[in-house]
Amino acid sequence: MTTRERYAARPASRALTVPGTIVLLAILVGIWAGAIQVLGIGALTLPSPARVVEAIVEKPGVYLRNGWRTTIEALLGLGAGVVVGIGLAALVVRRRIPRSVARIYGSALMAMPVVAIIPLANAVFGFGMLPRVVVVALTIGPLMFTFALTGFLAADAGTDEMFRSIAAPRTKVAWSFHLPAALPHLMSGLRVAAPTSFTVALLAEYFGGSLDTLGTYISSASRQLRVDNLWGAAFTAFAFCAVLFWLAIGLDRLLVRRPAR
Amino acid sequence: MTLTQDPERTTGVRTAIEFSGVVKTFDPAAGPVLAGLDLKVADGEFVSLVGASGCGKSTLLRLAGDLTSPSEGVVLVDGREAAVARERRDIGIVFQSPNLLAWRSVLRNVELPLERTGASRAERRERAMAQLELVGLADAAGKYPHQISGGMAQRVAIARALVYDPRIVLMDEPFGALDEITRDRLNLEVRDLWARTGKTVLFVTHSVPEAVFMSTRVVVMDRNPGRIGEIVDLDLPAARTADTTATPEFFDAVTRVRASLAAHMGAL
Repeated sequence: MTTRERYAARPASRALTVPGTIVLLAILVGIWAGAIQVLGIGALTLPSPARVVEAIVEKPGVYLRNGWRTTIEALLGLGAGVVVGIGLAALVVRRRIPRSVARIYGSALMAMPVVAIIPLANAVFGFGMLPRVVVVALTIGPLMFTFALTGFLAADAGTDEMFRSIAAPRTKVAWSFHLPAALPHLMSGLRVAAPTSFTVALLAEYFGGSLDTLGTYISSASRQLRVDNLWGAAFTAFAFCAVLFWLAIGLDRLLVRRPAR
Repeated sequence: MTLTQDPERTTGVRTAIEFSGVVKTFDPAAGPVLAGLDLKVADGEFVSLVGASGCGKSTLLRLAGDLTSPSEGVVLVDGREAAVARERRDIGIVFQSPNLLAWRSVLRNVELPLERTGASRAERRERAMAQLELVGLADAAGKYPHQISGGMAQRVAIARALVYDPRIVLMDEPFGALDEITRDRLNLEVRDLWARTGKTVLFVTHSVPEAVFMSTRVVVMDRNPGRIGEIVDLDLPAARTADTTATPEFFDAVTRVRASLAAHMGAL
């Protein structure tokens, strides 16, 4: 007998999904290359797939280095947003008035266009990494707060009573019940937040600051009409976003137990 | 049929649970759910509460478990306020729903009340396994709640409520959601557990035969507002088996409780 028994792995039909994805990508690239040939599209409008690959292969270090710096900003902001969002939700979940007030501010922050905050953050925090991290945190914090609050409120009242009946301390209830019960909601939030954090960091970089980031690279390539470099940067951004998304999925699968289907 | 609300008069043992002048009001506009309720349960008794829905049976149980407080009156458990008894873990509660944590194995669900009590991991394991053996689920220790039946889940909940060895066990319709065969089997098991451990049990049920089979006394409750309608002492043999339910004495006791219910609140 083992108490470490895990739920059975979900029967993923990888045999079909992985080749299917590759085949679809090949078809799309084929259509792209074909359209350039047939319609005579110029390289300044849409470079060929081969030219884009060439642009990436020419200087992969530039894309990776810039992408990595953007990722650092995204991860710092994501971390801060996750900690503050979940922490605030935990603080207000059992207090009706603070909960309502926090919800109003959370909704207001989520409704605020991020491009409006970026110049303000630059004005307050200068043009280093800090304002970008702050902007990402301000975007992710309310998002995670909303998911966390929903998760904490979804905790079963009967199980809460069971914990009361065994005279469990509040910290024990939070750690052994509220947090695990909210995990599916928290992980859903993280799946949205992880790639969003990269996108917001990228956007924040457009508004100035150090030049060795993906956002400033895209901005500069755009001004100089280096369309193949723009595509290279776009693929790099996509790749980093995808990695963040898959990391969130991996964490979800690691932490959340789900019955085998 | 005898009417007594003081077990000490008849049994000579000390009182485990005492309700004295208890009034409980949730919504003043709707009036009290329980009004002027007095009841004593002796140490080691198995007392069942029966009555129509809304008569306050579960509220009475929740008062004893300090899951809610009386609007007036006093609830004493082992001579102390119910809140003190709960904090001291003198009370174990089995709810209508097993309330197992889906992400924990059966064994770790039973261990839960022992965590942060200073008990070592090995000791927690040992005590939880002992309780699982008591409810016949030692083989299911490594399983997760979704992998066991409703009856097994409720037995896990019983093991969890007993793992810290409370003197008093409160059971709120623990088998209400189970099929009749499973329910009959669990009744036998709980009755057997009670006989072996000598704990005081306060048991809420909608089933008159279940109440009669399990109990030393059956409290028939009146409603609007809830109060003690009648207390029926049972003179069935202490050792009860499935055959007990086929005896004339059992039928007679069931008939008496049903008659009392009918007299206090009309036919159910």
